[in-house]
Amino acid sequence: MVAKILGLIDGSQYTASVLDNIAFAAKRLRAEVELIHAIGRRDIGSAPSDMSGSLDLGEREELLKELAAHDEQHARLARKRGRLVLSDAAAKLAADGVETVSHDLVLGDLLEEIERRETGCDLVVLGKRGDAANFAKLHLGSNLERVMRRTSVPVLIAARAFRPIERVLVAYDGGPSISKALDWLRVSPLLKGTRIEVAKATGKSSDAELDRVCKTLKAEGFDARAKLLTGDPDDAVVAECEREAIDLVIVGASGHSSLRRFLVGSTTSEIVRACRRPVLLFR
Amino acid sequence: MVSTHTLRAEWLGNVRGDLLSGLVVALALIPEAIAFSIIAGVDPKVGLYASFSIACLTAIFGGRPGMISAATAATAVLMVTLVADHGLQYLFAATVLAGLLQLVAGFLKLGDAMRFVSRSVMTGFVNALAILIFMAQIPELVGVPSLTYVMVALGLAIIYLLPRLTTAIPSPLVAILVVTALAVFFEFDLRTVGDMGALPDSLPIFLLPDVPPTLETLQIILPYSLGIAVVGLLESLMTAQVVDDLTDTGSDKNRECLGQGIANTVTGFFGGMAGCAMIGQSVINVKSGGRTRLSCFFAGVALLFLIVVLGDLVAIIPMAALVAIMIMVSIGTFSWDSIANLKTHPRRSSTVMLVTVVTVVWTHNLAIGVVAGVLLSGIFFAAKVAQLFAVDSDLSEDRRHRTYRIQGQLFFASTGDFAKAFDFREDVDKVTIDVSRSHIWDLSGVGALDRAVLKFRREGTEVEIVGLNEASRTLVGRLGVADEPDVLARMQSH
Repeated sequence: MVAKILGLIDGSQYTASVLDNIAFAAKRLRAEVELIHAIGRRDIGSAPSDMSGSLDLGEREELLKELAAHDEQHARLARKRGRLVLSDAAAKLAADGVETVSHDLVLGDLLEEIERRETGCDLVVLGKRGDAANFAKLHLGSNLERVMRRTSVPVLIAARAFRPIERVLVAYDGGPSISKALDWLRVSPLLKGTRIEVAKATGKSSDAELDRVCKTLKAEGFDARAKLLTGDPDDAVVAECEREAIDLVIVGASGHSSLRRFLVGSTTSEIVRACRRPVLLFR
Repeated sequence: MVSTHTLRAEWLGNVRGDLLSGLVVALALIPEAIAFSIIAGVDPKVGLYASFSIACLTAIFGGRPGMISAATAATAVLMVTLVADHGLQYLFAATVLAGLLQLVAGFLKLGDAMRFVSRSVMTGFVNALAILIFMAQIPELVGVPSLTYVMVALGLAIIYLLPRLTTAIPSPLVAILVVTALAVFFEFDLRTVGDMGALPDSLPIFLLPDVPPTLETLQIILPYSLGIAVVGLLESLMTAQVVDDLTDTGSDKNRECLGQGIANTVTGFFGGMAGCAMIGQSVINVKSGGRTRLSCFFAGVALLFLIVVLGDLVAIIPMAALVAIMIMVSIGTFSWDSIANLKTHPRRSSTVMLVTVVTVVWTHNLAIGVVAGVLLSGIFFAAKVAQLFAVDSDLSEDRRHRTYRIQGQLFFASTGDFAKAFDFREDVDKVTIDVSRSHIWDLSGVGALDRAVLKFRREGTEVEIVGLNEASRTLVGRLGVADEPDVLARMQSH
């Protein structure tokens, strides 16, 4: 079966990087790409508002017409723009050598659309922040948070800029998600030939578990080494990325507790938020 | 589990717009709450406490973000005789009971039953409501100093003309300020809000209604509670639909029933009268940019704050200013299109609408009007469907055997046509009744078929019924086919 990558684009400043990530992954995985752009919740901030607080004759009908006209205009523009964003993106991927690209404009909730499409999908790629949450805001896009919480396939979260992936850091916490990530890493062609650093934040000077993980990776032909960090796990990982010129961070969505299966660990969120590298997230 | 995402979107999706619109709504709610208290015959503080409590609680528990609920005219008109005959404490008890009944309705998912209330009935409901609100103002306009009329006219002029100059400030508020300022400055002798009863001077406190916990009490309040519960849910669900349409978003109707139930139950314990969603205020809210739960919640909080802080000032507002605002609400609530539509809409729909209006205005009870409207639209519908019925027949070559073919809906309203279709006295040996292309909906239909068979037998004619299995498959009550997914396809294939 052909591998499939689902790319979510919105025409924000992250879109170019998302497409670079997709192109990279598509070539490695020999995958076909499906791009979607969702026009979701309406931008209600721009709706006309009138503080007169009075009710005219036939106010309801009048207001309905007015709001409908406003929405219609915005929806038309949003669709036009969405189609442009998609066709530009598809053209760019084709130029980058991706063979099969399909694209869909989706009206409605992005999450529902992902849930509908994620079966048979191997990787979801999206940007760290969406169109609505601009870079000045330090928090993550709300769609991203929902995708991180709910999506069962691996999620590649693009940073603002893309560079070819050569050095990978695995933020190891011993939880089930990260074990799944390592299993995937061993068999997937995505990161073959990269240098892998398996990092764990402990105070200790050696860690048998980490060595064992590295050994299994080496057996698959990876250039893997263990790295022990000190301090807060999230700060340590972010600092390590800067220091070692890491190109991609692999994290598990949740830590040890099975109760927290439906949540995204705070360490993970913090890494995604603060690290200026793309993050590959596993549930 | 409610996801934090939805929660955040429903509360903080539009903070600036919601706070502003909440304030506009709060300013409009104050005169309305006072006016509705006066309709019900209680102190203004009863309506004001109720508006605060209902607005905040429905904001949290209701199913329609952006909808405004508070003390309303629709429920206030139902309380008049209860308050007059038994007093305020019985009103609190009735409010609690109405809330509990609404909770039951919510748990039984009666919100779905709204689909039986046709559009014409809803139009009749809002028109009747508008007329009731207007009629409630008449006592304030009869036998009063002629200066009152001048003030009301001035108030209305400001309300309707000011928005042409600016839509940045609520024109009803300006109307209140101007009329009050004039009255105070020139020392006009006009009735004021303060003359109508006590205003709140503190936050509401929890208290049990002071009524004897007997069966007799229940007998007194139950009819009122039932009316309030039904009318409250009707107006709330109807308003939810209006807000759904305006904002092009969905709402949870059964959750709205529960929210209204919780709000009224609690409100009764805090010295408030029963309320429900308000069409006019909800439209004002959407118009002012409100969309999420925050708008209704903030409207409630702002209302209480304003009234507790500004209580003394509120007391000097002339009733004339309030009357002007209520006339505006009445005009804004009325569906003016429906008058023009009388000419173009089907006569039966218009009849349903008018019957609803007339019944309400006559009984002062919206619930009775809606029941009348729903019954009438049901009868009209049955009559219409009964026309989808035809019988043809042919005689065999030897003129000894006639076959009747029944087509269409066989039920209580079409059994007359069914019986008339047969010629029992015809000289044939055998009759075949082919019902395979008809649908038998109820016992009346079965009975009519039985009777036809019996009559032929009595004439000595042999009768055979063909296709009965297929036809009676539509006996919804017994076989429950309506719940099966392929029922439509199967019915069409008949």
